[in-house]
Amino acid sequence: MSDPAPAIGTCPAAPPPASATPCLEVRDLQVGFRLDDGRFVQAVRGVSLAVCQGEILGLVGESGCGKSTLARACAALVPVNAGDVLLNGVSFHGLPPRERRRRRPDLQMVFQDPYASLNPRMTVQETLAEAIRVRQPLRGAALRAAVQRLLTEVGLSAEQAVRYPHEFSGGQRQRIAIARALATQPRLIIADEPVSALDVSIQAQIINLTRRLCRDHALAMLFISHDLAVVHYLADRIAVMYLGRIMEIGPADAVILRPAHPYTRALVSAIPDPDPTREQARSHLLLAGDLPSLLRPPSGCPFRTRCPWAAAACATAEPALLPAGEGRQASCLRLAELPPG
Amino acid sequence: MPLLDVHDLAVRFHTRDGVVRAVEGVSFRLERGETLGIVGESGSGKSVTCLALLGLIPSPPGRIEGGSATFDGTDLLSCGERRLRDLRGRRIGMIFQDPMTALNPYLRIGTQLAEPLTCHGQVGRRAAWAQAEAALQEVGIQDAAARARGFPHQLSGGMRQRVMIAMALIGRPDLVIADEPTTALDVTVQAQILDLIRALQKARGTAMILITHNLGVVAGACDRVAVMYAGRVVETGPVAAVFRQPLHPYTQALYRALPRPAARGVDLYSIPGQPPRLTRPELGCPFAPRCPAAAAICREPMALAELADGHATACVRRQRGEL
Repeated sequence: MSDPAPAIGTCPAAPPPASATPCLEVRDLQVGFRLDDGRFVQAVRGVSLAVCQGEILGLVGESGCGKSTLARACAALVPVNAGDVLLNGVSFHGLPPRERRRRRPDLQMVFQDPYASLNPRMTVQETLAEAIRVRQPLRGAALRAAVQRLLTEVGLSAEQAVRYPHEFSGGQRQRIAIARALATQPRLIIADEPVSALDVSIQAQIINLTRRLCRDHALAMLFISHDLAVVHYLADRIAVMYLGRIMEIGPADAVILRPAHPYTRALVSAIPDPDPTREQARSHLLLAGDLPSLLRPPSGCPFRTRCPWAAAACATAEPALLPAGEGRQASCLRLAELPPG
Repeated sequence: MPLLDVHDLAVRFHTRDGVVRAVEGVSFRLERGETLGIVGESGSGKSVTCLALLGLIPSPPGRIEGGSATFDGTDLLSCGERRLRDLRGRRIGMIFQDPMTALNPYLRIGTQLAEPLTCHGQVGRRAAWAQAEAALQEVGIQDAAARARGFPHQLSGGMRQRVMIAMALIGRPDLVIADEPTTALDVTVQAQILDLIRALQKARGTAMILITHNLGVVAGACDRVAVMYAGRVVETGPVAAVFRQPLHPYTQALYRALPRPAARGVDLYSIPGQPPRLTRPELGCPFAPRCPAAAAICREPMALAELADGHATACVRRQRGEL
């Protein structure tokens, strides 16, 4: 289970890390839940990764692969079973509660459903003011000015501060959720499917906003999505998860345009291409069957039950994440024997 | 004669906030064996259009205010509930987005599959059960006999959607209406389901209306496409023509807003503003307030006009050759 994956802790050459310590470092993390009937589900099974300042790490995978659990464990919203999460080099889970509260504003989250994550009884002014006052003891006119600066930054007008969440559209609500995340002046934002509930034209607005804010504030971001096109567009590096483990991690172009791991290949091949000629001409790598249950994960490589290249050895040995060219790492025993992607 | 000919369909919802013109003057045709994709964003009227064809608009508050929908000689909008019930499930099948809410959690899967056959009096209960098992096998469900005795909660999302497809096809319909059939599924499962739908459709020559917001799904699965905006069809034509050379500024904008590898590092195109409120009657083009090419003429009443082989646009400026 505890495969050493030393090279992931270090940052890639591009973008150049602004500091030696990554903003977020996850070391061999294990997160599980006890079900009502007493059974135990291991949702995250030994994940290591790092996000540097100014970098967007995309995390992709299908439902149930553990990407949201990983995000929640990073924010200490769920307890971890083993491993560690380091924020700016300090273990977050190991801190005493008071110290953890003091550091928590460094990390903010943006969720998929902005309506469920905004308090319907608070105006935008109240929501943002509360978040600002976590770090800055402002009041009166200065506080109102700070709220207005935030609203302008996310593309809303200052007059909209007096309104309630229900008076906004889905895209505008997501802008408010992003403004609230920025209000504590965080170094790291974890965004869990922030654009998945939005229509294409609105999605483009929020993606542009996210990209601009990350650049302007040199934020580190863990951007979780099941939409590979969105992640490829936005992220510097991409990690692909399957059944609680990382299958492949590396620069965005390498992972999406020239995927190495069989699962990444299947995932990329499954995205329908909006160009009709290309879509109808290309061959799809169709996977057989469904995702195995996390209650009984397959022995060895978790993907072997659906992998077209699985061999007998894949059932016994659990592959480690190893360098696989172009600055990426992949966990597949048969990587060298696979046909070119 | 086309299998389905929808002409000038109008559906309105009479709500406390006013009359919502959900579908306004929608027309399209569907030949036998053909797949028509209807794309559009939330609230564009694509689902309401299809619910209207099936007589499933909740009334009140909804009301079909005009138009006709001729299915193989029968007007679906005026033929009455009895005749509709006779067509639904037998000659017109339906696949909905969320198989968990569309399947009855208390009934065995086989019972639900056999229901359209027994209630149309086509076959007896035992023969219907045998057909249900065969239908499960056909959509790629292993151990079909045991699965038929099982309940929906025992299946994964992809398997449930396969059951929905089996149910839609069990009466050997001429037309299947699929409303976002893969939206709730993961991409690898979506690829499996689309592949299955294509194969079954080809084998049987079933016509299909595929409602989706995903342009990639349309590109892969449809022959023709109708693009809807604010309750109207703004562009329609063969998929290759519409996607290669969109003739309406909204289709162009929708296509440009997709994140693509080539666009990395530059801002994505985004449509300014918000979709219009459907409670305010709009004479002219509903996209005009957000359109970069809008002019005074766009406030005049608009209609689809064919500019190339089967490729029609509702953009007045394009029709006049000004763009």
